[in-house]
Amino acid sequence: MERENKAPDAAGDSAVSTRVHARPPIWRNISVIKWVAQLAALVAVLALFWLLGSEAAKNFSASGISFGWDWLSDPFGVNIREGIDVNPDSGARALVVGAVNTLRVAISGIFAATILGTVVGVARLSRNWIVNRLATVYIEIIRNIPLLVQIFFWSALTIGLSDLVEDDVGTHLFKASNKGFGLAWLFPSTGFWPWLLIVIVGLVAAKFVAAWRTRLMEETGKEAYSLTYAFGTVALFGLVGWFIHPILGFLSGVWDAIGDFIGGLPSSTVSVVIAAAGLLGAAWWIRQFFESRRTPAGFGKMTDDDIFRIVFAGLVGLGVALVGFALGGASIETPGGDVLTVAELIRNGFSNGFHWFADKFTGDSGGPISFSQANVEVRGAGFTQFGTDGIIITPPFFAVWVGVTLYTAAFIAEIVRGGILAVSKGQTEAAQAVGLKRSQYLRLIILPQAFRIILPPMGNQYLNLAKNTSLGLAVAFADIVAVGFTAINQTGQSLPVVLVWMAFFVTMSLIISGIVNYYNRKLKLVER
Amino acid sequence: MIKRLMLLLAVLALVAAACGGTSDTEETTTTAATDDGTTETTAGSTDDGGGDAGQGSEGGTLATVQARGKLICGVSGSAVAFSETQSDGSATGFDADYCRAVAAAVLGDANAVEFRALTAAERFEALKNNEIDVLIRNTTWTQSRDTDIGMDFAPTTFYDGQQVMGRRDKGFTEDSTLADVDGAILCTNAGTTTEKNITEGAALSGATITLETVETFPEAMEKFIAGTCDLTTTDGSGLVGNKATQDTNDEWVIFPRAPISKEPLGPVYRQNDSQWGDIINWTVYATIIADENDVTSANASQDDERPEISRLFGGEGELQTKMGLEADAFFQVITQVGNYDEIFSRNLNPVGLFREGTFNAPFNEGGMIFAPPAR
Amino acid sequence: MKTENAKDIIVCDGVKKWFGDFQALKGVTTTVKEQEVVVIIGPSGSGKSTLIRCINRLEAHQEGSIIVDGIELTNDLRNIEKIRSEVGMVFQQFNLFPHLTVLDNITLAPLWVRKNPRADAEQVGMELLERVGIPEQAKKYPGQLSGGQQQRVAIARALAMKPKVMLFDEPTSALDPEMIKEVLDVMKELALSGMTMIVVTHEMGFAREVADRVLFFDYGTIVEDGTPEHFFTNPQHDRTKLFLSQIL
Ligand SMILES: Nc1ncnc2c1ncn2[C@@H]1O[C@H](COP(=O)(O)OP(=O)(O)OP(=O)(O)O)[C@@H](O)[C@H]1O
Ligand SMILES: N[C@@H](CCC(=O)N[C@@H](CS)C(=O)NCC(=O)O)C(=O)O
Ligand SMILES: [Mg+2]
Repeated sequence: MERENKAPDAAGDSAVSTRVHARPPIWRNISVIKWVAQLAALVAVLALFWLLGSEAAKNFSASGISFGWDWLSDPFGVNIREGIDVNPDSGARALVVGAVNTLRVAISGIFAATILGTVVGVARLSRNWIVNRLATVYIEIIRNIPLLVQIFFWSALTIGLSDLVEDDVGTHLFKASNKGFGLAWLFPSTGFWPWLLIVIVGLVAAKFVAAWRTRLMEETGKEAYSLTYAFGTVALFGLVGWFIHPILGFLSGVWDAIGDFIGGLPSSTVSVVIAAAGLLGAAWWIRQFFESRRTPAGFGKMTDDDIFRIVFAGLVGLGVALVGFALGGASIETPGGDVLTVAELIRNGFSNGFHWFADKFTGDSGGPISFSQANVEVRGAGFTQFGTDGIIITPPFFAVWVGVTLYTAAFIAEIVRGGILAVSKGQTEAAQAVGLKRSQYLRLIILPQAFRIILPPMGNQYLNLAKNTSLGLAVAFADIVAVGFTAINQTGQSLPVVLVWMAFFVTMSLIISGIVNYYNRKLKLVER
Repeated sequence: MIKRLMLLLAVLALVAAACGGTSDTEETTTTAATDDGTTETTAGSTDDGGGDAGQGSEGGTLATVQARGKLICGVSGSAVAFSETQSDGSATGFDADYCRAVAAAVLGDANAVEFRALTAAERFEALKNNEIDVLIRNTTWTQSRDTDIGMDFAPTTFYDGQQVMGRRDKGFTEDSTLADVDGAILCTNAGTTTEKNITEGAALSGATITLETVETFPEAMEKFIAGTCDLTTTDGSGLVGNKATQDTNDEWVIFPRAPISKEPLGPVYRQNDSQWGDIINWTVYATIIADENDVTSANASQDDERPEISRLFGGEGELQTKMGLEADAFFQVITQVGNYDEIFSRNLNPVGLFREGTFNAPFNEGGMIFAPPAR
Repeated sequence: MKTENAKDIIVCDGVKKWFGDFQALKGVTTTVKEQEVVVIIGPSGSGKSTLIRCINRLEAHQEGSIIVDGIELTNDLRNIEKIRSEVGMVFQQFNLFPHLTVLDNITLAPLWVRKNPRADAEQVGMELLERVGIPEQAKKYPGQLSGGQQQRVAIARALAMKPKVMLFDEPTSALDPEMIKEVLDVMKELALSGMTMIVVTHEMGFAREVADRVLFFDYGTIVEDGTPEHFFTNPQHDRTKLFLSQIL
């Protein structure tokens, strides 16, 4: 009671004005507290790492177990079931093979789960009883069975298929067996790169054509089919390019020349370019940050967070610049035995990249894309196996991929359904009331709003999917976890391998959430 | 991670046969003696404080085990005739009996063992992390395991070598060689010497293979039976055991005649704990010495006149007490578990593994089973 | 406002509407002439919203007929689309499209339904914003506006289609008192300009001042139908008297 009575007095005019202008004591100053908190968090994290590190080191030396990274370059010694290199010559190479396998499942799974989940989610809202029920049953079944069990199920299912026999030898559009699945696929062929270049030019042209048609529509008010024209343009380039791509063969010489030029640059160019990119990048970021704070009413006021971000961006830019110059000093021994600075390696990498590209412009008249059927052949001492044509999905890959895809799709379906439902009925009514057709208001009103609602939880599902691929371990899928375990077992270096796993999964997660956040920020509703 | 996977595996009973034998892969088992002499068995996780087995250096594993009153022994649980988890949670087999022997020596009770089923890939981590006191899981003694990985090895209890198993109807015979595996998909379990040997061996014999490494060997067998894997490979003893239990029509064949590797199998313990190491070593030796002197569980007597046996059984001097054990520790081992030959014959003869003419015969019969003198 | 022999623009004849087994409209018969301003008053749940939502087919009536500008509302999709583009509607909750700017909210339908050139649509949009008094908000998003401003945008959005009739369903009920006036002023101006309007509202001042006719609704039927004068000073039915005694 007493306090309440005092309040009006304190709020007296003079009191207010002095209060507002007086600097608060430092321990109550929000901006000081924020800065201190940021720094304290940084220090705490560093201290924690240092503590953990020294503790681990102590334990290792106590138990006489070595801790090191030699195994990365030592021979790996175990064949890997599938991947870009089934006989890796070093631990690092083996981990790369495993990482690529993980990424293959994760990326293709994310695409497939998104499409399937969206279809099922929309089906869930369908007024068609059968479609609706089917979707519901799918979701209920999939969501209520542990993912690991599902992965085992798909594994058992493939293992239960019939074996490849000699009668199967030959090509197949699709072939299912207990050795996996083979299916026909399209692959880049000799003319691919020149053709791709033409298609890219077509895409740029299509952008202009679309802009022109849109302008036409706005001027005349008549439907100008800008999208149709844009597609047509790309199709035209693709089609013409299909036949004329050999004429780009001369570019081979151009790429080679560029490669030679880069290869001849002094290695300090690399440092300068990296440093410049770092500094310019930071400058650009800070500039656009200022822009984003500019309002018609003038310059928006900066919060402490904003200032922190700007300082941080500046520091990162400086850091990159420093690294750029450090690269000129750090030298590495290549497998060939030469000692090169990192800057030189990067320069050579770019140079080689252009030479590699040059090789792809042969002027060869082969088609840009080849169609390749799966083939079954008798190998070695008489084993009937899939050959190298088409796409071969091994049983472990299939089990993990189908498992995580179906599982995640069920959750995505619920998110999509929820997102569409969350767009209020009023939006539909308002859109109908102004006379928009169903297809129009779905596209212009409902989906854009639903998408904003869907995106953040969708990002979580992507992260889950990526992490769940590690369950593949249980069905012998050679992902980074399985390969890492092999490395641990052959070398005993558990901590370094765990660190590699963590670095890999954290990076993958950060990239996924970075992409999702980027779109999320772009799409965020402006509110007061 | 693997732990969780394995637990789920067990719960869901999705792994069918264990190296051909039982279909049970319970994760852990406690077999502890109660004071009235009966045996109390609990299956489940490590809630009984048994979670932290032993200690790297200070205190020593012996003190930990004695204080706990039971031995936590890492086994496979699904290796036919070596360690097979039973429905009551205990384990049987050659390796499991050596767990019992250690328990008899240390605690005077062969049943004071908690068995922990481990995959090949999990085993060294489990030992390093003090989850188990000793690892007796078809483990091959290798240089890197002995040094880099931080293990120490007891004397070899079973001299083995890696072989491959294929189907007769695919043209394989006992005389097939590694060159004949060219083009095949081979399965084995992860975290083993096996996966390395076959990679190396196939390359040497010019064969290009696809190697699929599964978590446990029973899964490899499952895939071999289904045909997803053309061939399966592991220690010869494992192949013989699986063939004996799952191949009634003799459709499978094990080759090559001369194994592609040396696989000396034996108990493993953490390095830098020499007191504990000595105990495991001499438990193994005790079973061998008893065998050399024809002392069996049936005829073992502490009144044995022969000096070495007398010393071994605690009749004279302080050989065992100086190790931190009761004087009659090894007498308990022989009476409760048996000598080397008894352990071997009981577990391995039924699947067709015999000592005669192999490295596992006694040294004086041309084998390599040999113990230093107890004195 | 109402010219003597103006033509009928909305004709409702025995309109009945059920929600499940609950009958919300029990045979509504009334006619609205061009340039007429009709205010509908009635207790909550009496079917006011349902009636005006039936007029642009946000709800489908089950019996009777509704004819808007000579077109009968049936299940014919073409008729429905036609009528919707002739009839503007303003909702209690504004229902602006939050992901579009104020101007885009207004130009959306002219662009996509009328297929007007963008420049024209934007010019009309700006004129309408001027008319409702907030041209400076054109580039903002609905979430950045006050409730009164949002409702004025909603009115501009409906007007952008150049409708023959405007329907208002309690346009001021979700607003703070100081914002109600700014919206009512816009509606008054609209009425004076000759727009045909059907307004569900509890603003008795507006009804008295602007309406040509007041309909009193109860239990899904029109209980009282007359001039504001007649309605407020000399209601015929007990139900109306009771209602007025409660709110005045
Ligand atoms: N979609 C619907 N489903 C079921 N019943 C409904 C639905 N819409 C309205 N009703 C019912 O119909 C009756 C009339 O509703 P209506 O919204 O027309 O009332 P109202 O007169 O506008 O009331 P208020 O002044 O509260 O807006 C109410 O009893 C309401 O519960
Ligand atoms: N001796 C090898 C292989 C050990 C091994 O895993 N052997 C198989 C033989 S059956 C086994 O124990 N399988 C049972 C299981 O995987 O649980 C090693 O130490 O690496
Ligand atoms: Mg209403």
